[in-house]
Amino acid sequence: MDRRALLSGKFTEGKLNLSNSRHSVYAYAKLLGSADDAMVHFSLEGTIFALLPNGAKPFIGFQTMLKGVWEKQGQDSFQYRLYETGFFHHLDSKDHIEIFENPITNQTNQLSVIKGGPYETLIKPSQLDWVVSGDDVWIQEPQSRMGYFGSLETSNNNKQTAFANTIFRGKLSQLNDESSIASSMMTYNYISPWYPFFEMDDVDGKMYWQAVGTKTQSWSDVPTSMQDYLTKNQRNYFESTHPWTERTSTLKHFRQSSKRDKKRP
Amino acid sequence: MIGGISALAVSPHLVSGQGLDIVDHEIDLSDPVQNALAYAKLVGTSDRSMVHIYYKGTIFGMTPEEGVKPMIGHTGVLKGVWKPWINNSFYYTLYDVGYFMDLKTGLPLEEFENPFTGEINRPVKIIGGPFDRVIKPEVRPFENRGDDLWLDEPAYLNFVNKLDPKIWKKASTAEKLSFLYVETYHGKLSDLANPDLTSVPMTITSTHNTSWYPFFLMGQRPGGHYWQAVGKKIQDLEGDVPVELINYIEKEKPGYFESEKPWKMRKGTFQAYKDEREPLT
Repeated sequence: MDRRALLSGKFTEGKLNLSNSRHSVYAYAKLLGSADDAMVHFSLEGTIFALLPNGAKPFIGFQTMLKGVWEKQGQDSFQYRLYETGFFHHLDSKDHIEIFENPITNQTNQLSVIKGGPYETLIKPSQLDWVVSGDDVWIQEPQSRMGYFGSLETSNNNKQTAFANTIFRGKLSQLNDESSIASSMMTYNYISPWYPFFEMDDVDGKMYWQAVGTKTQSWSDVPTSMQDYLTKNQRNYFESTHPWTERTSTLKHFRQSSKRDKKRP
Repeated sequence: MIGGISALAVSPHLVSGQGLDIVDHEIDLSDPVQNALAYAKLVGTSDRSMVHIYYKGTIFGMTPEEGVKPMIGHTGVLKGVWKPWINNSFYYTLYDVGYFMDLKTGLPLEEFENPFTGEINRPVKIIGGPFDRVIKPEVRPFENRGDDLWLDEPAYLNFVNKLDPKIWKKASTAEKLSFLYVETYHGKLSDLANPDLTSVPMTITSTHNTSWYPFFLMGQRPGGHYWQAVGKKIQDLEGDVPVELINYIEKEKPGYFESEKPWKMRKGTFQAYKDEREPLT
C-alpha cells in the first residue's frame, strides 16, 4: 500500500496483505463494521440449546440486532460503540414472547428482553489470526468471561465461567476494493450458565446460544418480526447513533426490571 | 497431486451465480422436494458426483475451575460422495482426513502440552467415515437476508463410549457421551435457484460441544470441549487448501481425492484410540 492510499484509507485492488498489522486492522474494521465513520447493523437469528447431562436439547429461539457505531481514529485505528437489542421467541415462531412455558422445568417463566451496550472498543494495528481459503476469509474472536449470573442486583462472589466465540466471514476481494464497508456473515456462540429468568438454578447444565446473521444496512432487510419489535419497543434504534446512553446488559436489564416490578403496588 | 485436482473437477457446473440473470429462476424452500434439492446443491451436489470440503479450526477446553483455554487446532478435508436416490432423495457417504495441528504453525502435531493438566498428550490421526446419510424431502429451516442464505443444522449425538471408564481411567470421561454438533452452511439464494447449477459455492461454520476426547487424558474431570471450524466447498484444490494439508492427505491416504471409496471399514477417533493405545492410570 502506498502512502497516499494509506492516508485516504483506500487500498489498491489486490494489494491487501493480511500479515501486515496495518492492513490487517483495516480489513478487520471493514469486515466487522466500517473502515470509515458509519453505523453498521447485523441482524441475527438464533437458537439456545440446553446442554444437559443426558444430552442437548433445543430450548428457545431468539432474534437480535447489533448496531456498531464506527469512527476512524487517526490513520490506523478504529473505535466502535456496540448496542444489542433483541427478544426471545418460540422455536416454531419468530414472534416476540414474554411468557415462556419452560420444557425442562415445566414452569412458567417471565422472560427479559435482550439488551446490551453501549460497549466501546478501540482497535489498533495488530497481528490477527485470519483464515484464508481462495477468496473467502474468516476471523474468530474467542472471549472468556467470568461473572455473576444470578438474579440479585447486588454482586456477590458466586462468579461463574462463560465463553463467547464470534466468527466473521467475508470476501478477500471485497476487503480489497475501494468501499469502506464489506459484506459479512457472523456466527455467534455463547456458552453460559442458565440466565436467571429461566429459573433453573437447580438444573445441572448450561446454555448454548447459537446465532447466525449478516451485515444489514437496509431497514427493508430486517425481518418483519424484528421490525415489529423495534417499532414497538425501541423506535429510534435503527436511525440513532445513541439509541440509549446508560450502559446495560441483558442480566442488568433483567435485574433492574425485576426490582422495579417488585416496587410496584 | 494432479490426480487430486482432476478429481475435484467432477462438478463442472460449480461456478458462481454472480452476474447470472436470476429473474426467471425461483425456488420454493417451503416445498419439501425443492428444499431437499437445495440442501444437496448447497452441501454437496444433486449429481452423482464427489464434493470436497476444506476446514480449519480450534479445539477449546472448558472447566468450571479454570475457564476456557485453546488446546489444539484441527484441519482436514471432508469428502462427500453423492448420488440421487429414490423418492426425490439424495444419498451421500462422508469421509474425513486431516490432522490435529499446532495453533501457531498450523502444522501437524505429534504431541503437545495439555494446558489444563500440564501433561504431554499424543493425538491420534483424523480419519473418519464412511458415514452414510439420506437427504429426504422435508422442510429445513433455511434463513436468508437478501441473497445471502444459510441453514443451521444441529445434530444430537448420544452414544455409549467405546472406552470403558473403569478400564480407560484417563482417556474415558463417562460410560455415555453426549455431543451437540451445529453445522451452518452458507450460500447464495440466486445460486440455489439457478437450475443450471448442480453444486453451488458453500462456506461452512462448524461448532461442536463435546465430552473430553480420549487423547487429552482428562479423566472424569468436569468440563468438555468446544470445537470451532470454518471452511468451504473446494473449487480449486491448490487455491483453496494449504499445500501442507494436501501433501499430508496424499501421503496418509493416497488416492483420497480421486477415489469414490477411499476405504471400506468405518473409522473414528474413539475407535482409533482404543485400537492404537493402552489404558493409562
